[in-house]
Amino acid sequence: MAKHVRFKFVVDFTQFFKREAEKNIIGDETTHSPTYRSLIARMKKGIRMDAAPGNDPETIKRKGKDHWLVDTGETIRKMFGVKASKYNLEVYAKDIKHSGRHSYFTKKGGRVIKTARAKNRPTYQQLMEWHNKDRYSGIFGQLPAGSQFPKRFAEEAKRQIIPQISAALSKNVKIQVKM
Amino acid sequence: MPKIAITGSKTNLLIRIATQEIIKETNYLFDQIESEQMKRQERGMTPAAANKSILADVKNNADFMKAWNNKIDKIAEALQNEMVAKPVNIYADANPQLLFNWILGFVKTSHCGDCERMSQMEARTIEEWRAEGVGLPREGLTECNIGCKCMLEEAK
Repeated sequence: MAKHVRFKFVVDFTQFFKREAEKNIIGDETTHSPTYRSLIARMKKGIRMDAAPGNDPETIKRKGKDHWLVDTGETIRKMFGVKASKYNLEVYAKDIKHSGRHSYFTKKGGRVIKTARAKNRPTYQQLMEWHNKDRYSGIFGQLPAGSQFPKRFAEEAKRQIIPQISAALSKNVKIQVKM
Repeated sequence: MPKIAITGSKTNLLIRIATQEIIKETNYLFDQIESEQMKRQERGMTPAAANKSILADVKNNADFMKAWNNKIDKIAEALQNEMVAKPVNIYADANPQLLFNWILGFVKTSHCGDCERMSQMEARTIEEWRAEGVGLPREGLTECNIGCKCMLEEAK
């Protein structure tokens, strides 16, 4: 009885996921299209393109600006974590503590950044739980409106698989019929 | 609006499901290629000639290859619907029969008269909300103008 030979193929999305997470999901502050960083830092919107809440008047006075979650810029720079492997991608807020640094204006009008030695400094995760308030879509949970990640994901799958089909057929792999 | 998960676990689950579906469809594609090899050999082709003709079909996106490409595109489409946030107005326009409630947003002081009035009305379709004459939340036509923080939420 003839032995049945089976094609095998391999897909590994690790590098694709890492690239997508850094460039198109987290992105940087100046990205024109909505990414997690640009939504917080530049657009002041959530993933559904809804406006972020405003700061309290006392906070605006202290910070010198009305910008939800943004003060020294530490959170936007340090908050994001990425775990990418063959079939998995997680983009998340790190469960480590914020340094406590914050800014305020002196009586003379100069801006000072101070380190608070508060006992209960929040973690970035706690900050984001607070940030993504009720009825504001915030960030995480889904990709921002307009994201093309799923389309690029499909293209990457085809890019990896089709050459393997062609290579297997070109090598004249024998298929024997099982009687 | 439900509390947003910030651990990335939801999007990771969607990606894993999509990956498994892609692998399943590709395994089926390989089954089809193997069937094609047997069929073409039964018709008198040598194994090498059968592989060569199937390779041509792969490159020309014929039949089984086209079906596989379409299935991968459908998986991506389903992922798009689940994984990518939709601006509320676009979702509502795409679903004209659905009912939405006008939900007051988070504000520091008080809501404008238009938003207070709208929030007390019962759920309506997107067209019925537009017919009220103050636009939709955050469009800038209510008394609170572009400061509006309200949203339309799908009625359960």
